[in-house]
Amino acid sequence: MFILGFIIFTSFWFWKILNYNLFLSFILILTTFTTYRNFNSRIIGVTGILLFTILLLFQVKFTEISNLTTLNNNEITIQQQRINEYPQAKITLFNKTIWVPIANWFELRKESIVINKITENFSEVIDLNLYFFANHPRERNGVGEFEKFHYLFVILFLVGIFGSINSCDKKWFALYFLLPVFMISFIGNKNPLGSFSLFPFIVVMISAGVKRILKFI
Amino acid sequence: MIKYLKKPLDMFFLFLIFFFGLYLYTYKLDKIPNGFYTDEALPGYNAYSLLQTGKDEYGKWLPIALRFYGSYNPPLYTLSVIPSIKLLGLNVFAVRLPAAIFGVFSAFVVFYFLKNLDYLKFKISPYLGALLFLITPWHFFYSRIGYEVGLAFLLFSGGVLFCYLSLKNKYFLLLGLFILSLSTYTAYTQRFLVPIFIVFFFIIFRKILFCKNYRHLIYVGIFLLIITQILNLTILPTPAFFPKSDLFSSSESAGQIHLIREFLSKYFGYFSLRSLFFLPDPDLQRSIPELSVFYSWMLIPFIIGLLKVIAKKSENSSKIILLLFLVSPIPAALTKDPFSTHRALPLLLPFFLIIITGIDQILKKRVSLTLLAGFTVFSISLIILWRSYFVLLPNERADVWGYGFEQLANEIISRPKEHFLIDQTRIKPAYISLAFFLKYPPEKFQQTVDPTIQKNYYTDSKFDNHYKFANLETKNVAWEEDIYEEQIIVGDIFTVSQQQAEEHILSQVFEIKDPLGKIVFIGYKTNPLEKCKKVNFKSSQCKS
Repeated sequence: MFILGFIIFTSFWFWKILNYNLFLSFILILTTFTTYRNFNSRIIGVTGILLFTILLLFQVKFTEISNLTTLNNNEITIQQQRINEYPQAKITLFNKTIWVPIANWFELRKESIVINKITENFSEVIDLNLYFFANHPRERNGVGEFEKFHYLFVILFLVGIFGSINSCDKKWFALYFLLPVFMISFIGNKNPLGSFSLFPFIVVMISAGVKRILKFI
Repeated sequence: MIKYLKKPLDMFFLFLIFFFGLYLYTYKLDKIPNGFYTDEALPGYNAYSLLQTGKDEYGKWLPIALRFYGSYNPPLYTLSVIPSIKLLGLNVFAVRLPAAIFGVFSAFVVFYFLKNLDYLKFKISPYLGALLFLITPWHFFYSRIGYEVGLAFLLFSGGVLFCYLSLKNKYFLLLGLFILSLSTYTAYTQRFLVPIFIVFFFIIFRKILFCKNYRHLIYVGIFLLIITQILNLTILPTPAFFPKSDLFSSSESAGQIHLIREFLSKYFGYFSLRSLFFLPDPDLQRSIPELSVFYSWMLIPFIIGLLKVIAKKSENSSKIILLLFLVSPIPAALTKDPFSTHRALPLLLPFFLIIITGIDQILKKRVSLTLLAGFTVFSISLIILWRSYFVLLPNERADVWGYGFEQLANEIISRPKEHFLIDQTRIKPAYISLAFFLKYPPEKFQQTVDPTIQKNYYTDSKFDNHYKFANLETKNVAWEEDIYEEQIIVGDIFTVSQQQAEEHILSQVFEIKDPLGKIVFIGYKTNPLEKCKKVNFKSSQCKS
């Protein structure tokens, strides 16, 4: 518990959230502790699920959700340019010519646009550098990046996650990691506080890493 | 290794993979990437020069490192281009062909690596691996350009493979060390990576390598390393050995803590799932539009494979993969580039081995279903590759690939009596691309360069962009003088503004556009007489 508290209170991310919304920071602390307890006990209690649900709701509330099918001006320009880059594709069958609308499939269809947006959001939220290096050296354009945890914690995090992933409860992993990742992939990352619903997972993994190293020493 | 070739079916599949790779890697090789970059023209023209005269562009006989524009590139790739130029002539295809061939052979190195991984259960996995490797974007891109990194990857991977095989058969150790040493003559990354790898290889596998059976081989291996590194050691005290020191992260104003953070951020950046599976290389010249270095779907087998490799970390197969995984990004992480696919290419090998390990694990669940899914995924990957590489790349990246020099050379050839001034203010060194496309005789070109360069070849790394050969000159435009000479000034859209054209009575004679219609080069003819009349012959440049 002491290690957990140390990680939370030395996190720049936590203090940013505290400054932004006191109630959210309180929920965050409670959720992190219940996540930690669930991780060790391998039982996910109702309290844990409830608190985590509240955290996810806050994630949705503070995120500027944009339409997955909407393109900005720059994207529209590129789209129009690309339509002309594709060759004319046709199939000739029994003297009938069937034109294959490849450009349309790749550039204009809503499904393609949605898949691209979701993968873009997904890739941002799973990036390790986002949490430990303020996304350096590949900062995003137009986004105010900030360091969430001290960069030296990255090693503890990796030790924790690789040491735990085979032995941890799959339901725990799905709830505290996969669920927020997939949710953020759909709602996007336009949030002044970042993907804080992953905060409990990251803190627990760092503390697991600390424990492993202490055991080794 | 030979036993895998004995079965006819194995041979048949390997031949299929070979011809598939050869077709894919040579299809429109001279057209895509669209253009011909300076870093391709340099080995191309120098290979031509070595072939014709035995000397490089500066007149240096068989240099240990090729000076180029002060970059002192290791020579092996340039030497490999010589037979290609001899057979096919001096053209883009001939310069890129060796890279394509090395790329196909790299797939076989990966195949044999996979064949020798102890925990792969399925016989089909190495074949799938070789096939997938051929269409992996990271490898595909660098196998179709005239860069040295493809050959460097082949030799480094081959050397590592033989070192790994030496754990079971000690005689492979010498071959492995020899090939690794040879790889340091191909690219800069290997100069740093090879010693790091060898040291850690011996530390990790010390129980095997330092036993009695291997001892005499280690002494021979050390001797072999020293002998093969003599050429590198002769230039070690010169700027030629380490010309890219400015690429390394600066330590002038930053403290040590900052440097540690900087290094760690770049190091872990090479394991960033976003950079590996979703985003292209930030350098437009080194990336394929809308395609990362691996396909996005490879993330799943990668994670599964990584967990397997870590679970089996006590086995030699895992140890070698993890060793490569952890040391390969070190040289690239020391440079300023945020994510250099060029310098981190050795990382492709461990990543790919892990991905195939993951696929092998998935195959365990339901073979037929997985194969069907695999075929679908392979087909979709081919379509994605076709879209990004064969449709988008030739149009969108032509300008960064030096598009326009061939067309400019044709303009120069069509006007043999005109003098051309190529503005170098913003354009990359144009001299070499023009010498290449003009097929300018190397013995004549060597006479145009400063003779002192030959004498101080490895010590004087200064590069002067001013060249004068054929009917052209490359330099920054000097407006006080050049408009009074009868010539055609060539530059980009910023070289001559509308106002300047009117003021100096310049008339546009040609325009070269890229496939998207963007202007790459504009040629303006000067009118010295009219200009002098305009200034009432007051300028000292006006000749009577």
